[in-house]
Amino acid sequence: MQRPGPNAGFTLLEIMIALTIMALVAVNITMVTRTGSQAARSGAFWQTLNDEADQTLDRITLALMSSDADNLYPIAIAPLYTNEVTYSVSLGVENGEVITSSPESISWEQQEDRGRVRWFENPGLPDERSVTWSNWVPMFFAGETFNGEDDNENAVVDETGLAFDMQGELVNVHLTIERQGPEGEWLPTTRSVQVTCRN
Amino acid sequence: MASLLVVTIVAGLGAGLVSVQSSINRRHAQGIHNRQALYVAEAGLSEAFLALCVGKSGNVGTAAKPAMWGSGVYWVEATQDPEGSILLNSTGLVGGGRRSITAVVRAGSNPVAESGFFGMDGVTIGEGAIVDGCDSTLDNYEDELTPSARVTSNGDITLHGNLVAKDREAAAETFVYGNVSPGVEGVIVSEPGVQISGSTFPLTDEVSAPAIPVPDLPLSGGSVDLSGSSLSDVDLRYEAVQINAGTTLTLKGPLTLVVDTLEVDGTLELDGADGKVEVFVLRDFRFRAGSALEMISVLPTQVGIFLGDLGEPSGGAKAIETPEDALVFLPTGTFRGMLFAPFSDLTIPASLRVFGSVGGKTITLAPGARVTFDEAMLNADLGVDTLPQLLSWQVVELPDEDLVSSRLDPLLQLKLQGVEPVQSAQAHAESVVQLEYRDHTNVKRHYTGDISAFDLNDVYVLESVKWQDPVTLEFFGKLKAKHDEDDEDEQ
Repeated sequence: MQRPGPNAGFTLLEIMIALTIMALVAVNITMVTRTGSQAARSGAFWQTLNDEADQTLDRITLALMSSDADNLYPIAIAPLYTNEVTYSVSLGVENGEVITSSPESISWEQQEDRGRVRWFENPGLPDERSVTWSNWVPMFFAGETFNGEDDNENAVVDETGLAFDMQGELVNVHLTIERQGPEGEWLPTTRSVQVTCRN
Repeated sequence: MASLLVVTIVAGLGAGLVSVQSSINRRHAQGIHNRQALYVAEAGLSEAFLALCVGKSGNVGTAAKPAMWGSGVYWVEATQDPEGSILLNSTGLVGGGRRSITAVVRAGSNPVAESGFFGMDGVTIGEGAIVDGCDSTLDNYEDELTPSARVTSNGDITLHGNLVAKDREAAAETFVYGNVSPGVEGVIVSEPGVQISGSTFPLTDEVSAPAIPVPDLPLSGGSVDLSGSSLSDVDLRYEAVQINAGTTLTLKGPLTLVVDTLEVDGTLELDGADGKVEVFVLRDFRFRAGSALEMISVLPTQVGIFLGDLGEPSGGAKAIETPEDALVFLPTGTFRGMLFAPFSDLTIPASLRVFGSVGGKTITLAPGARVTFDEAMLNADLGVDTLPQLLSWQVVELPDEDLVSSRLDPLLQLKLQGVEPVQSAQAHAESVVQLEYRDHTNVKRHYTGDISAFDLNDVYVLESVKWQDPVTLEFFGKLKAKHDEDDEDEQ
């Protein structure tokens, strides 16, 4: 057999095979990249959602921990709940008397078909201040519908996305945060915690 | 060249993705660490609280050498307030998380005295009885009444007035200068002629009577007649003690007396001026008509009479109800102290003037009785350990310390500095203790030194404990040595 000359090219068959292999590799790379980016987006989405739920719940629990159970109102005992709680936090002791802050409140407010969690200082007064802690709180707690029953078996009936129920010095906090996922669907994450009022 | 460019672009994209992901992870971890730091700070508060309960200052660890707890560290600074309360500031550090919380604690509140005049199942106040309050550490009660009385029950509280008084001015009215608190589901039954100056709100939680531990003393004798005796600085256990009519038994503290039966026809004198007097009566408690109960000391915080489950048969089976003759209480005189009978229906006669606190299964004040709740009883070290009371808890700003502001893992940072955090239980500021105790042969002994070097099995009865900070001890030791040296030079 004679060696190909220095100016010899590729045969058609060689080019076809090479193109096919390149196409397969490109398709695989594309699939891996797409799956990877979807997973990264999904992972980032859930992590962000969980972080928002944790951060909001941390703010609520810190506020309630510093409060006095005797000054909490309204009082709601399961299966009833309240989506707003007013309290005062302790600022220390002076001349043997405990000094408390101005009244504060944490409430769920409806915004169109969803809700948000807001914190107020001096609620209802001329010098009222407020901060929104989360804009992504749905109408109802995850798994709950407005039917007069405890659908999610957490001892509370028809609770909203943020709900409180009390047991003496203990306050149960139920929170759902819901955002639109990468595919456009609404995805919730829930938190329930029991807080002891320290004062 | 093109491939190099592609690789560079892809590498850059990858680095960007990794950076975004790691910042998300860091934020997530920071939230967890902050929460954990709060728990560690609370653990620090608990440790400081425990230190206060055993008489220490409440200082645990320092910023330079903190105490270790799990994967974090903490330290607690205790500051004594001029008003007598203690400010505990606890700082917890875990990973990059930091939290600082403050609690204001009031030293020791006796759980028996907290309820004032307390009847578990009910309180009855007879017509013309007066219940008021005072603070024997501040003023002389004899000069004025104060509205600090406490009448408390898990059940109902009944106050009898004068329903049919022909002469209203002459009729004795029933007064409570203070608060009357029935049980959560209890009521106040108040007849005309009753005046209550304070709150009448019911309790928000049931009050439980604390268990009073009876000292386990060796038997000193069987049935003894202590008429005309004077006892002091002893701990005694008898089966029965008798005081005959016309005679006096004087008990002078420090003294503990445990008896199955106490029969008093004469006078029992109690003197707590030099130390606590605690009398425990387990079966029969009889102060018959004509007997007297008198006090030599003035402060009620040093005298306590505790009644057990009276009428309990010697076979050990529990009595369903206290037999009527197991408890007879008809003395004249004055009692200043704590009288606690959690299993018995106790009646305070009008002939006995009471200052202090009284607790029972039910409490009845006979018509015309006078009882005064003394606020000093809240700090009385009688019957049970007086635990510190939490007044306030709040999250505060982080202190300005290098360990706090660096945001590195504290364990790593301390390791780099060559500092090893101390285990929580060994991190208390005070490790030197002064003990006064009686050993198993009833000999009084003293010990001063590190608590870890002391064998607690040697102790039969612990009389007093004082903790000291070794650094302060060393400082004052050196100061004393210098003064002694200067005195010698002068001579």
